[in-house]
Amino acid sequence: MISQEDKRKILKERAKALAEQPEKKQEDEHIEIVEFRLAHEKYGIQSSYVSEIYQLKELTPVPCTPQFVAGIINVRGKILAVIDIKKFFELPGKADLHKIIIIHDNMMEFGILADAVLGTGQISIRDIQPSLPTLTGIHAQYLRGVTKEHLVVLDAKKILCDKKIIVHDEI
Amino acid sequence: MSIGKKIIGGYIFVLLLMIIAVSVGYYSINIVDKNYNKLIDFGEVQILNSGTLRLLVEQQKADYQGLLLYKDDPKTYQDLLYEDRKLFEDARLEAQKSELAENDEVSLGILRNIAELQAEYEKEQDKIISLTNEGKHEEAINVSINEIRPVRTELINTIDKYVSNNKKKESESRAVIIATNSRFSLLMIVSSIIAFISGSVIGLYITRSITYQLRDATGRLSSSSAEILATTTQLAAGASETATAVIETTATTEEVRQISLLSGEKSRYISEIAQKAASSAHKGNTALAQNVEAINKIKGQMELVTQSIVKLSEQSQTIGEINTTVNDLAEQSNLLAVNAAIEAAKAGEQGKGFAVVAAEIKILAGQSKQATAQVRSILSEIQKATSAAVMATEQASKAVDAGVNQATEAGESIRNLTETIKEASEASTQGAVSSQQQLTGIDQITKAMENIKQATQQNSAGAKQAERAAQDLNELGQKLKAMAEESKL
Repeated sequence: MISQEDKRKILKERAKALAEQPEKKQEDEHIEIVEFRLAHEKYGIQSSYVSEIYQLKELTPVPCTPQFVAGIINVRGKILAVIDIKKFFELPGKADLHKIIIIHDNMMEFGILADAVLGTGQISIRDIQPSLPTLTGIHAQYLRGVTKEHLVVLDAKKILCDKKIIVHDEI
Repeated sequence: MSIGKKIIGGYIFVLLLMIIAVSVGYYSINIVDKNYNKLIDFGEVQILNSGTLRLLVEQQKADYQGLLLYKDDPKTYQDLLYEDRKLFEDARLEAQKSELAENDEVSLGILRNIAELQAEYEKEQDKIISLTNEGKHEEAINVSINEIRPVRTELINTIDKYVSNNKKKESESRAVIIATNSRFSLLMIVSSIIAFISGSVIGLYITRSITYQLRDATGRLSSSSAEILATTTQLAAGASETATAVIETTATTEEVRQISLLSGEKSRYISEIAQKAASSAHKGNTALAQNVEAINKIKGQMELVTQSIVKLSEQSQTIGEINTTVNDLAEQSNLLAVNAAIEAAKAGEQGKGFAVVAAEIKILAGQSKQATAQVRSILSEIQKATSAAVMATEQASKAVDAGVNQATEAGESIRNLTETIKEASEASTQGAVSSQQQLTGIDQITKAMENIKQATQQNSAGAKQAERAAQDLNELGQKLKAMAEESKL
């Protein structure tokens, strides 16, 4: 059980944190992001493109699709494709993967798999450092940058607009 | 062949020889006797008869010459003449009879001639008589000189021939007798020599064989008697040893008697102890039964405890499930808080207050998640503890079972012990009885040993006597041996 003193301390810290935020906002332009974890790395995605976080259940695999398509899922009547972006970043194995972050723009709506959702947060655009020039291909294409806290910020717009994701195969 | 048979055989052989010799002698004597008889019966008689015949011829001559000489008394000479003729006839008949008996054809022929000549002679005499009676002496003398003389001469010659024949026969008979005698004498001498030689040989052989056997027998007798002497000496020694052993045995039986007395007392004592032990075992059995009952009660209670622990385990399982549900709820609350934060961000400035609430909810969800984690760890500890308790109770129930088994085994053992003690008690009672019997038996043995002792003493004396007798026998055998050696041929 938490003692009375601890409670007070925690509440104070919270109050302090809440009190600090407006100060930062005044200095820089901020973006809202949703933080999540893939394998051992932290990723972030702009929350304006996120429509919902959903618990992964009843994932139906679809045959004759590229490896990154994990399957399709029913979210309250909508049928959405689920993409395993680990395959893009060459991250190891199948981890927990029980969360789906559903992202959208005017054209597309699909889910990406995440090991765990850490929460929401704000980061200043200045803090985002451009990704390493050595990175090429997909890495360079989908990444917006890396923060000081080693948070990899994904570019949701580019992912949603990527033609490669659209699967049009005939058997 | 046994000595007796040999002797009897020798005697029989010698007897046979004697019989043969005697029969040969008897036979030869018979033959000689017969020849002599023949000589005497026939030869002498015949010679005598022939002499008589010769004499009577001459007598008849004298008679008829007397008749011629003495004419006045013709009647006397005539009678004399007839008488002599009759005598002659008698003698001739007798001679004939003898010759017939002897069956001598030559002599019989001569006799027949004599008879014919006599008949002729008598006819001539009759002629003389008739002439004399007619008184014709001259003619009668003439007849007597001229006619009768040749007849008479021939008759005399014939009789002489007969006599000489008889003499010849007699000399032949004598020669036969002498020859026979000498032959039989030789035969008897030869048979006597054979009998003597064979008798001597047989006697020698029998004697030799008997002495050989006797020597052998005496040799064996002396060696056997020496052995007997040795054996009887050993026997005497053995008898004295036996006497010693008997005395020792008597002492030992006395000791055994004492021991059996003691053992009788001991077995009575053991019997009492065994009865006490039997009652103790019975008590032990009762106590053990109570013990088993108590253990069974413990077992029941242990089962109750086990059931309770199992229930507890099940309930902690349920708590775990509930905890998982709570954890899920916390997870979902977290998601909801994130979603709410996203929505709040979309709302921009207006959603800021909502974002704070969402953040609070997220913190609460995190706390409840931590709490469920704590509950989970506590529950896992509880589960470990309950499983350990279950294990412990199982072990305890096993231990109780083992205890029940051991108690049962102990009860069995005590029962067995009771039976064994009973048997031991009976056995010791029997032992007491049998030691009594043993005592009686030992008394009998003592008496018997006494008898044996006496018998042994007698035996010893007897053995001494036998030893002496064997010594005598040995000496006798030695003497006999010496005698046999002396009589060796």
